[in-house]
Amino acid sequence: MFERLGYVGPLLDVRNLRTTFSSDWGQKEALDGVSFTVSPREILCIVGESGSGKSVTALSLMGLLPRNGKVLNGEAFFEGRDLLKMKERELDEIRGGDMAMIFQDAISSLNPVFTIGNQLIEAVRAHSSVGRKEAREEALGILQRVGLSEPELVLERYPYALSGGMRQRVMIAMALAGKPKLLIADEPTTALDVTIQAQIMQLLRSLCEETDLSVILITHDIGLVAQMADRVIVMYAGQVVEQSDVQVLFNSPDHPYTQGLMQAVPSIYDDKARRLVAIPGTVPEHYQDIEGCRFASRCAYKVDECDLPQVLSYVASCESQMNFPHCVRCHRAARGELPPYGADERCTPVDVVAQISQAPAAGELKNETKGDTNGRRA
Amino acid sequence: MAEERKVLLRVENLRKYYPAHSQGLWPVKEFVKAVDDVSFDIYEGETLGLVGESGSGKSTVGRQLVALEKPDGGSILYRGTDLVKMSDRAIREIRREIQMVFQDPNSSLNPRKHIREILAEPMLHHKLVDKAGLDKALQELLDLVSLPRNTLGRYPYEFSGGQRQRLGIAKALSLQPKLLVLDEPVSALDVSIQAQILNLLRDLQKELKLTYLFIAHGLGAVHYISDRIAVMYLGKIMEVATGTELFCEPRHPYTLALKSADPLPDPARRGGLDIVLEGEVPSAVNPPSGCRFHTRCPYAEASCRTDVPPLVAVSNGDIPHLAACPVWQRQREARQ
Repeated sequence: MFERLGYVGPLLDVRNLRTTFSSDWGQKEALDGVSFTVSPREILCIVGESGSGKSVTALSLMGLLPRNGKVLNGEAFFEGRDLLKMKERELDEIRGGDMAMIFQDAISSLNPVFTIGNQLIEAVRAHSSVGRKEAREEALGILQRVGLSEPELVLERYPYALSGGMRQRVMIAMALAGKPKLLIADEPTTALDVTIQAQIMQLLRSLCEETDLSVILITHDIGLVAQMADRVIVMYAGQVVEQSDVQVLFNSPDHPYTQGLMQAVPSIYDDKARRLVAIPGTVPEHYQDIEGCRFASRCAYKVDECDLPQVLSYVASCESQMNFPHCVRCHRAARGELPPYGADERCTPVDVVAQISQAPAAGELKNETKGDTNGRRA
Repeated sequence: MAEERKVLLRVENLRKYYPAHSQGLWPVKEFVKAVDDVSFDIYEGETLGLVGESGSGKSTVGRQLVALEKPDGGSILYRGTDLVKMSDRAIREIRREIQMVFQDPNSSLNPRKHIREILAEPMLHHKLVDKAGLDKALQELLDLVSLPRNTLGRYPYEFSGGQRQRLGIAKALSLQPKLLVLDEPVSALDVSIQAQILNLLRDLQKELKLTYLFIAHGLGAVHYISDRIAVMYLGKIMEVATGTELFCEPRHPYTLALKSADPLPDPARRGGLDIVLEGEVPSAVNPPSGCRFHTRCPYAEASCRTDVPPLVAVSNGDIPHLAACPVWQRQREARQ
């Protein structure tokens, strides 16, 4: 990413977002000072486990928090305008238009009693003043773009009659209907089979390349992050614990949690004799009350100093600071006190490259004839 | 593995057809062929992984082994005796030795009972312990799955997801089984917890000399825990081999496709996927003729549409590598 010269500023600039949920038992803090930016045409992945606040971040930005949720403070500039200070009506113009969101569960995001055509054409007309006929033409075009081969048929169908993968494609089509600049995808493939997931991810990638779309991809799958992201934010217990360029993150994850996350995932390229390194314990329940590092209770490198509040700070030995600084919320890691990733014998990264090259050369038979299969960015 | 591998469980030509429409006046003519002519062996002390996408019939196979479903054909030989032909009463005894761990520990633990009751009831029913020895047995069970001993009086809701899965495992272990059928035991858990449970399962297997059938869709987890892996697609087994062989040298295009779709945790190696499948899994009501994979297979030939490929050995190592695709094999040889 060297487009510094032609750089006009981020598409989305989120600063110090703080969201809480109130309940009968008091306030529960879900986000604690989340900040990040999204540049045009990039894919930003937010990765974390359940309850880490990655979905709440998205909902806060979209103004879709449930009634008991509230953004306490923070700013979110979308093309220079603060989303969090907008009136509901102003927000409506941007939501579904310049900024769209797709969810894990596509069936509950579609209205079961209307056909796809009905809903999609409505979405098209909501964001541009075209007649029914043109809107229908446009809807057909969008469906084709998301890889649905018989768009006329799909328009006539009801959501229940589509498979999971097709529904997710329809959801993406509805999001594209407003010609968005930013698409927030919240675990879009978690409910789908892996072969379908590969198709959907390929689609998202090619959309990013062909149009000026930025994507915030929320996921818990570290493999998907590696395949999709330009930049990554790692969240834990409502805080950003590490953020970096994807390449840097996978080469040298610095936060002990990020390291743990990477070691905990079994891969088909692993040596089976290697024992998975699990992160002990679970996410603490009342993490908003913890003053110091929220990961300390599960961390192997804890010292007394960890009970003091931690800030997201630059990693000392970071080469790519110019473009996008590698930051970590761990004072020891920031100072470079922790052993480098992979130095511990138990967590040596496996040499996947060697094993992959053994795989048979395939795909030359049929794949050449298809237009959309080489959508993945190298 | 031992020099002489003893077959603990042999499944032969297992079949399960569900009627496609359960209601209506007219007799049912269409069936969902959930499991169609599936055969495999599980050796004592090993873990057989069973992978496939949703609708492949992998869970149905597991449920039939623990007699939660009655097969429509074929046989399940446990230590030589056929479970399918057994009376319900006789099966109850054997059922103790084959236990199941479910994906969702929430729905397999009774929310109204505390842990003591949940764990004690099966043991008392099968007369494995008497009232006097019960407490000791319960403590031992909790120790096995690394749960604190003072949790016996708690209810399931008081536990986290990972702890509940530990309880699910403890419940299955309470009857001192020989074979555990693990149906997606880690799919609902967070990754850091998944690793804990996978390690626990590995340790338990060593300690108690258990045999596992590990059903899952996550290839990484299956590879980590299994000695051999069987790949299912639309009710049929496509390939069986050790994990390393299966993923380094797949002999069935579907295995290659699954492997390609599994996102590689390395940003330097993007794209370069071997094959990305088009379309979706066809309906199991009218599965494709011949090889069931031919509709999505990039290597399919005319013969694939008509001939059902048999599952045959493709390499003769200690542990045979079986695959049901002669066509791809031939194509590869021709290219070399």
